[in-house]
Amino acid sequence: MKHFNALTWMLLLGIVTLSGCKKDDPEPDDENELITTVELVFKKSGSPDKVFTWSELSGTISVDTIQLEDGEIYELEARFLDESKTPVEDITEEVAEEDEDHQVFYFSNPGPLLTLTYQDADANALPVGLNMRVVTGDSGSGTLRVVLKHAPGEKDGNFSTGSTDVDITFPVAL
Amino acid sequence: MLHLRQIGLLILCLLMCLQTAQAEPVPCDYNIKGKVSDEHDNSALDYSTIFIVELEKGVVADSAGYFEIKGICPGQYTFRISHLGCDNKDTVITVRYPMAFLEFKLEHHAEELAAVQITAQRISPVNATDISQSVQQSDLRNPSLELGQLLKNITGVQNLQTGPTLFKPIIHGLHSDRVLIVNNGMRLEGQSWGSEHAPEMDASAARELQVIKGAGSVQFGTDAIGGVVLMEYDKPEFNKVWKAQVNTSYQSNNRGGALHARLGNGYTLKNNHQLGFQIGGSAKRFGDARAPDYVLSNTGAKEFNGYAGLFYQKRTDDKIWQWQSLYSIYNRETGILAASHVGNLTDLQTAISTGEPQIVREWTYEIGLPKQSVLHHSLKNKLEYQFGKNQFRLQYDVQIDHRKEFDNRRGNRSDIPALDMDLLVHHVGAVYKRSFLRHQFNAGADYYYKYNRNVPGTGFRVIVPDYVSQIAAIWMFDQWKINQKLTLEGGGRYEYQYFSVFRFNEQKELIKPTFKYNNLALLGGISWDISEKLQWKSTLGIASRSPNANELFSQGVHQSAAAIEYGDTSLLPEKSFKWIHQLSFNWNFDTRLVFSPYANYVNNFIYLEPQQEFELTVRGPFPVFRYRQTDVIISGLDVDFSFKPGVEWLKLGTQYSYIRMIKLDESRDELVNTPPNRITLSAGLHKLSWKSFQNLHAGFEWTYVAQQQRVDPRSDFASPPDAYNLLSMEIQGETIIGTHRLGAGVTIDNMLNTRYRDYLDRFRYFADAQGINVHAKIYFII
Repeated sequence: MKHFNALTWMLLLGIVTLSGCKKDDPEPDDENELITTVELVFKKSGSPDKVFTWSELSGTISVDTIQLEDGEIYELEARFLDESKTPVEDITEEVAEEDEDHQVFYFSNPGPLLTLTYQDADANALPVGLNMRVVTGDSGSGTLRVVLKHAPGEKDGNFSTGSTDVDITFPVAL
Repeated sequence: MLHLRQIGLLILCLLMCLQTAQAEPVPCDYNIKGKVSDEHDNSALDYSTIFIVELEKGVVADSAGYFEIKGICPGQYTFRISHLGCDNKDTVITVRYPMAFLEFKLEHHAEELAAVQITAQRISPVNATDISQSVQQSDLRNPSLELGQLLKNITGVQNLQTGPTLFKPIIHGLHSDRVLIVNNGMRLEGQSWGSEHAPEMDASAARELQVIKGAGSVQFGTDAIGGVVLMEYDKPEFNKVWKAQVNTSYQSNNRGGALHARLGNGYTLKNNHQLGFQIGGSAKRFGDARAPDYVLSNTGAKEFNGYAGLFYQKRTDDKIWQWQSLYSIYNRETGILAASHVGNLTDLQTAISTGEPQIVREWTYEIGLPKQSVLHHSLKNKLEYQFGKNQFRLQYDVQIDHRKEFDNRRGNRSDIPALDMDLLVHHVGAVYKRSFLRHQFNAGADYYYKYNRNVPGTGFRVIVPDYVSQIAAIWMFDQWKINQKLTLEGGGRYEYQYFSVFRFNEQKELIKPTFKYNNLALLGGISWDISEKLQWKSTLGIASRSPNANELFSQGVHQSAAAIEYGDTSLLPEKSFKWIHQLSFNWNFDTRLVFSPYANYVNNFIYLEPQQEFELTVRGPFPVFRYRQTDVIISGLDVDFSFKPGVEWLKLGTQYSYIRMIKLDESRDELVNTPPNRITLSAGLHKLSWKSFQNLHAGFEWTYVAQQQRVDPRSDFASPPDAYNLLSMEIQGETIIGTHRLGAGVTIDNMLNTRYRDYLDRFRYFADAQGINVHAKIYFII
């Protein structure tokens, strides 16, 4: 009898645990690390701000051409957004808060097309790149590559340090 | 004293020989060699004692169960064979020929009581015709070694590595979901699809660790296309003898320490009720590993494991009832090389072209980011009833696997896992076994319920969706022992899988696709002792594996691989036909050659195919890989050769493995991660006893791993690393204190501190492999 009890107990345990695992439908997770959009805001005193956007929404990429006047000086402000959320989430705040771990790099091709200099720095006096000064060259066309690097605890101002969160390229026409 | 007596005997023998040589030639220089093995599965019983009662002369077998006794006069002797955990066995043998090979079979852990006739049989997971190989017991006593590190000395087994801490065994070129791991009678259920997901188990609890290289297991699943890894715990005993063991080790390279301890006993109560228990546990802590030139930052690990089991048995003259419950927990946190964290292809290419890790910090025990943490519970309940030649078993087991992976994240989110998955598996199984005539017939049925859940809140899109997989299976297997020399085996398993998936489409709507798969495994084998010197084993196996959730549904960036991977929901199960042979020659007893060729044809082999296109994302362009199917032929050869060059204490050996994995499409390309060919040469000094020491061993080993030159360079981010040579050495021995054994050993891996990268190490893009490493171990067995 004892053995049958053991057997019954084991079967019961099995049945109870098996029926106990009712499955609830999963909920989609919010992707809170997502960057869908990069906005470059070019400011010049006396004229309205110019905003150029790179975005990837539901798998579709759209890129503005950066159109600026030649031989001018602009203040550049970079913004990183998550437009998949409502309201739109501003990732720039997170980057600015953790500026000791982040740096935005800009590469102009050809080089003389745009000359960019950092206007901001973190607590370690390393550039951040959310605010830049841009000097435009002679009229012509080319590209501007914008790279956001994340290097927690490792940031040293070198491009090769850290991992890449954003790496996009805008066409440029002066 | 013993050796004095031995010398005396030898002298006496010599004198007699000289004497008789002048008259009738009856020399006393007969040699006896032999092997001691387990009666059930033919596995070697290492370090058994072979004692000739009449001569009061004894030897200890080596780690493979082989022994040799020299200088015996012809005549009749009683051989008393003993082994830890076995009862002594006396056999009377007449020595007639100058050279004889004796094979002794012991009932290992027989659980036998003098008054009872019936013997408890164990339903062995290893079949007689299986081409299998065991890990040496001396290696199992080093608790810091991971499963993969323990298996790597088996010819034909390599590791898919993720840096110096994560090892996945590769058997004949196949790994992950294609290698079935059976942990103490339970199919290990974890997130084995990921190439950086090491098996979720503590190998230091193993009493025995084996690899079956043939295709298939009809007992545990149809999907063992590569092979099977079997780990067994100590068997319960009811003889009121405390069994305990403490294994400790230290390694210099990462200043890591490990401790494993286990304890067990059993009692016989009134009315033949027997009760036993065992408990065990391990604690391990490793700091950063070091390459010859730099610290491999963030490659530390820590681990806490434990198990506890209760056993009940009741025996009558013709019946045995057995109940076992065993719970075990595995808990490991593993650091992932800091320099391996890449955001896009450019980062990866920069890391490859720099040739050195981008992040090298001070050496530390601390585990930073990225890291993995795994918690695995398992509970096994087993009821067995044996009457006469029939045996029933009912088993219910449950496993819970919780894996979290942490990464560098923005906005103070690094404490939130980027991947958080729960897997719950219930299994109910029944086995019936019957011995009749020369047959041993087994049949069984299984039901599995697997529920994989993504714990919400990671803030990332899931890699593998939530799913419920239900599997119902039936199987049977027969062993036909035609005579002492010839055994035939055959069996089959059929599985029906119902797979329901819960995932979100691009519009974040829940969709619930379902899949049904039918899988079949068939196995046939022969074991034939052609002569005293030659044995042939061969198995032909058919296995089939359903595509896993990762292969079906992957969609998006694979972080650590800097690639975009796309699954394919139309994938079909892959089917494998593997034929493997093993020819073992034992010439003159001093020379052993094991020659094992194999061929594995896999129909619809699932692999990641690199695409021509790049996909543009906010992180830059990524190369695209798609899961595709093609037919593949895997063929190879394993060779083990050892001989004694005329000196008793010197043994030389070599191991060689060769493998090709060719896609049978127009390209005829070699598959990515085909193991490069390798050869190992070893020279060892052995002494079974010296003064109060036993099993003394000192040896050198040289390993050469060739460059993998046949793989299509377009299918990889960097070309395969150069060939390399490694030298290692080992010294060990033990002493008997009363009835206890105390042993110690030192192993030096990568003695010359060679700078190298291994093709099968996923972190070869970022850093060199581990440099010189001195392992020291001490163990004590009660």
